[in-house]
Amino acid sequence: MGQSTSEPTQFGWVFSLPSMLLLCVVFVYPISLFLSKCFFDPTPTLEHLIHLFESPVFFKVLWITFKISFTVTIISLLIGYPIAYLLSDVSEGTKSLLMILVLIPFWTSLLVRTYAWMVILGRRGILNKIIVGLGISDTPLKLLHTAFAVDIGMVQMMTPFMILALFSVMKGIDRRLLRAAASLGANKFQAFFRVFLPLSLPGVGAGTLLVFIYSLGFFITPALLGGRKEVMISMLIDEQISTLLNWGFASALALMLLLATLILFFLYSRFFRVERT
Amino acid sequence: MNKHIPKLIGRLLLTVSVLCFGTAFGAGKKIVVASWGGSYEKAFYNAMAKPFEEKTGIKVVLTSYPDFAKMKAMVDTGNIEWDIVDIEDRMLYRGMKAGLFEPLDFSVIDKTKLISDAVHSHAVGLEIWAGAIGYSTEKYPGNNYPKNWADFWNVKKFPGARALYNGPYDMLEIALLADGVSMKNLYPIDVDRAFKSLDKIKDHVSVWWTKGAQPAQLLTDGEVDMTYAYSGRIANIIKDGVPAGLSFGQASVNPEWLVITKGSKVIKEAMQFLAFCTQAKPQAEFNVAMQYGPINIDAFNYIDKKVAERLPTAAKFIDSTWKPRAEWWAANSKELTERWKQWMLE
Repeated sequence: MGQSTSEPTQFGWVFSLPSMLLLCVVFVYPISLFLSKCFFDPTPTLEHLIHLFESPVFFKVLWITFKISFTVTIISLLIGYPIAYLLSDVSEGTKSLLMILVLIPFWTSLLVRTYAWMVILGRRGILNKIIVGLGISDTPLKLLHTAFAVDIGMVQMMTPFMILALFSVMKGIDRRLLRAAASLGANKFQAFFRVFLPLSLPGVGAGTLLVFIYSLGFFITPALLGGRKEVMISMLIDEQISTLLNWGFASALALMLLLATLILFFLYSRFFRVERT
Repeated sequence: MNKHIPKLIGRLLLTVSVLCFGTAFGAGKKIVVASWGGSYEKAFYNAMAKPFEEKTGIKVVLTSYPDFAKMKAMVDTGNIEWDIVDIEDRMLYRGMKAGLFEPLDFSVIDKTKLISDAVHSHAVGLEIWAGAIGYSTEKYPGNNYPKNWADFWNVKKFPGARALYNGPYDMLEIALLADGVSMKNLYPIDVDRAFKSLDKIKDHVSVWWTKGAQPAQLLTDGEVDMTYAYSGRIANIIKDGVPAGLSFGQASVNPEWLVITKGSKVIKEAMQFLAFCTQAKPQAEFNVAMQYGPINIDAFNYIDKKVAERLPTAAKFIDSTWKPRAEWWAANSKELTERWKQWMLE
């Protein structure tokens, strides 16, 4: 923006003022107010932060949160990539049909989809009825309230985000480059891995970042599908806010999550050059 | 023009006087009550809000759900949206500490017939619920069901999937009961012994629930065979025909409280409403609908004997139930919630 060559763009930022103002009022102000509670609840104090570093639960839960988010990101990428590739490679008609299939779950409430997974994975659920009916196992398997259930539930929530992020980059890749590669003697795999994949990396970067950060804040899905060990940091924050009324400590937890996310974002953007995407 | 002025003044006076008297008699005033939604809210409306509205002209608006964080924010900012809130026992002590409630006026609320466990300087009981054992009658038919917490812990005699509450409240106590401590000697809680007892059942518990509606769902779906549960929820699915049973052996009995939010603009009307809610007849109606225990002893005059003996405050349960000590929890909950979390992750 600083390198503007014509007069009007110098004042371009003026047009973003209303939205900036709105963001400040409804986002920056309340968040700063809440995060400041970490140091000022009820009087200026470091008690909450000290307590946080002394508590073995917090770091364990932070680790679990990152582990689940990482798993979900990788699986969404593995599932989303071929779908996005397909979407960017088919005729208009097929594309809109496939797009609808991607978007329908996207439009369905997260809570509804979580309950749907409970119906599918439960002890008397659809999947267990099939497993017992086919004689694969004599007794129903424990699928619900496990790490597996949390992963599968969250992957379903997150894959559409991944697909859309990948698709937006892939549709801009010039397919003639693949044909050019072929004409120079590359086979299909070589053309894909040496031409298409590198060109699609910005999409991979944006998609994985989006999914990972979104996953960090997940709350309802792990609470309903997980077992006793699938505790994510938002669940701790919720408990401190709504049942223990300990807003100072909740604020300390939120601050740590924000810092961890920012550090990660920083490292990641150095690595993937997010600004390019 | 001039001759219109007296007429105008007359009309103005009339309007003003109507407005004044209207407010004096309570018309146009409204109380907002935060309650628990669903069948609970419907029963509350039919037994308490609607008859009160008809009697006084004060409108009662119901909303869900009582959220303690929201309530604290309302008091902190002085923007009171809920005048009356329906809260659990342990919330009462936490809310008292945070100064969220108005003191009650017992010259308006008649406490002579209320059971003493359901009267507090800043709160009055709405009902009494039991933390009891809900079980599947398909899995445990006839008389072969878990009758106390030792049975619940006995996985050889009663095989099956179990669910417990994901938090230390009541769980530490029932762990001690399962380990042979008597109901009279629960407090102060021997925390180490309680966790040791919980270690024995930990791997047999397939669901650790967090919301009160979950146990009923878990039994309905067949996800578990027995669970610690809030009695009213299970009583409701039994009424709906789900093959489930409720065992009150060594159950905890807990008052559910109504409080007035600090800074409410309609304290006088809210007080009148609380006085109404604690009367015998509305108490009988609400508690029969919800299968909870009434807090006004005269309510039993309006309840059929057969129905009365299934409610958690029935005389025959008095010796087989215990009351959690909320003061003890208020002093220890912060530390124990953390220890519980840690234990869950082990």
